[in-house]
Amino acid sequence: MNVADQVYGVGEITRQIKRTLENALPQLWVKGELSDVVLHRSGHLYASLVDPGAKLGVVMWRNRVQRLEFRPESGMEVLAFGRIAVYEKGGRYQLDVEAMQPAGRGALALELEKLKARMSAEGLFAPERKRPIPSTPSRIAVVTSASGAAVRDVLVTLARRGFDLDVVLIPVRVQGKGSSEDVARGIQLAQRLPVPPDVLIVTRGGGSLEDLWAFNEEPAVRAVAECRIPVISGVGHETDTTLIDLAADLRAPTPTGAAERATPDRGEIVRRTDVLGHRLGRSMQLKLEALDQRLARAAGGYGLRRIPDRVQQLQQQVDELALRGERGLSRTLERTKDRLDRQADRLAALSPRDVLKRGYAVVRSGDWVIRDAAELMEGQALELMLHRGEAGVRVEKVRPEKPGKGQGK
Amino acid sequence: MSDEKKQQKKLSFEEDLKRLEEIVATLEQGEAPLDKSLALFEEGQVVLKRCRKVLADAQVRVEKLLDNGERQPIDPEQIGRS
Repeated sequence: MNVADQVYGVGEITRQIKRTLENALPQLWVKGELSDVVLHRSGHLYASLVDPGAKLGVVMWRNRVQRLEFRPESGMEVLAFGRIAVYEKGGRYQLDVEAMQPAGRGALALELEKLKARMSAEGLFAPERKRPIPSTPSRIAVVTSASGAAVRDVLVTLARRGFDLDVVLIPVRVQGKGSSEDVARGIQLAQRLPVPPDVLIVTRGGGSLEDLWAFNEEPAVRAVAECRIPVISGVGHETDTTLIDLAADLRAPTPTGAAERATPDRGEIVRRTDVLGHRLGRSMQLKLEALDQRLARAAGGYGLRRIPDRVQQLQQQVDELALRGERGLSRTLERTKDRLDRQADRLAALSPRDVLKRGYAVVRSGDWVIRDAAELMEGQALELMLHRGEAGVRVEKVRPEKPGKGQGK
Repeated sequence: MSDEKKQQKKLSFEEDLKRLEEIVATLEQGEAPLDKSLALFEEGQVVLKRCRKVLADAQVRVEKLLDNGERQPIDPEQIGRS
């Protein structure tokens, strides 16, 4: 019988089309722009995939829609994975979608999502894995390429900020085939160093998704997750997030950022120490001044005989401290000493009131007596104590004394 | 210096700094009697001196791990220029 003579029923031919299409086209990826997106009340998603010359109906069942990591909208470029199915009742073929990804960055982005999903399911990114980064590490290992700007940024930053620190660079390849394994090898090497580092920095400079790929692949990511030493990652620029960043104990946005997070700022600590030194001297000075005033008040009184002895002892002890040559404090100590030297005069009943009478004023901020313009801020409120009465004033302009030789080594 | 010693040194540095803060805070309150204040002041001096010494000595050594496991000192400014 001639083929043309055969007569099919609608159902029959449809089933044949269905068999032919579905057998010829197993699971496949289709890329296109979403349009006519309808998320049905039932939870199923109906839409079309279009490109300039064609249109393909798609359907995605509810349980799969629920697994989508983005919200499908008309106009979006997507990669859809599924199989061609023929809907007999409607006489249509359509793509029965199992999974769908935004296609902005193409297949690599898709691959990244797959890797991410797999390693995430394995728990490599779990928050409870994260360990705290020690605040003042003594030893840091840096796993990165020995060439390029990243390694220099990291090492220079560590050298600038660090304080009593050993840095070991473990050079690895960060790009190209086998580089993920190489990064993993570097991380393992770091753990086998005779004296293991306190922190590990895994880093590389910016690049395309392809360039950063070693930091998404399993060997390197797994090595970071399993590393016994806390890891700080700094890969690419602020906007790049690689899977290593997710596995690391701390993610820094850039190589320099990673170095900064690994170390306390030495300059900051020096400043903090200097301020403490200053406050130490100042607080003692105030204490002595209080004593000074008490002595002045007591001068005419009965305690006179015992107290100067006390002051002498004090003076001697402060002198000794000054002799030890503590630089940051020597000025303060000298002032303290000067004041003690003047103790005798004070005892001669030179009360503050008498000084004020000569036209001086005492400037205070609360209980704090101001002696140095450097302590002031513009706009700060102060009290003036005059010979007669007091006044509240506000600082208009601060002109601190030019510093002498700065604090140095 | 051994690493353990160094770690101890760092820990004691942090403790020193903390202690110094305590001392200064106590002195600034101004309520301690003179004897106590003076003792604190002296202790503060000693601690401060120790902190400054550590900070002055604090060096950063940078080395590169070679393939044979040895280490080679490197200058951070020079690395990566190739």
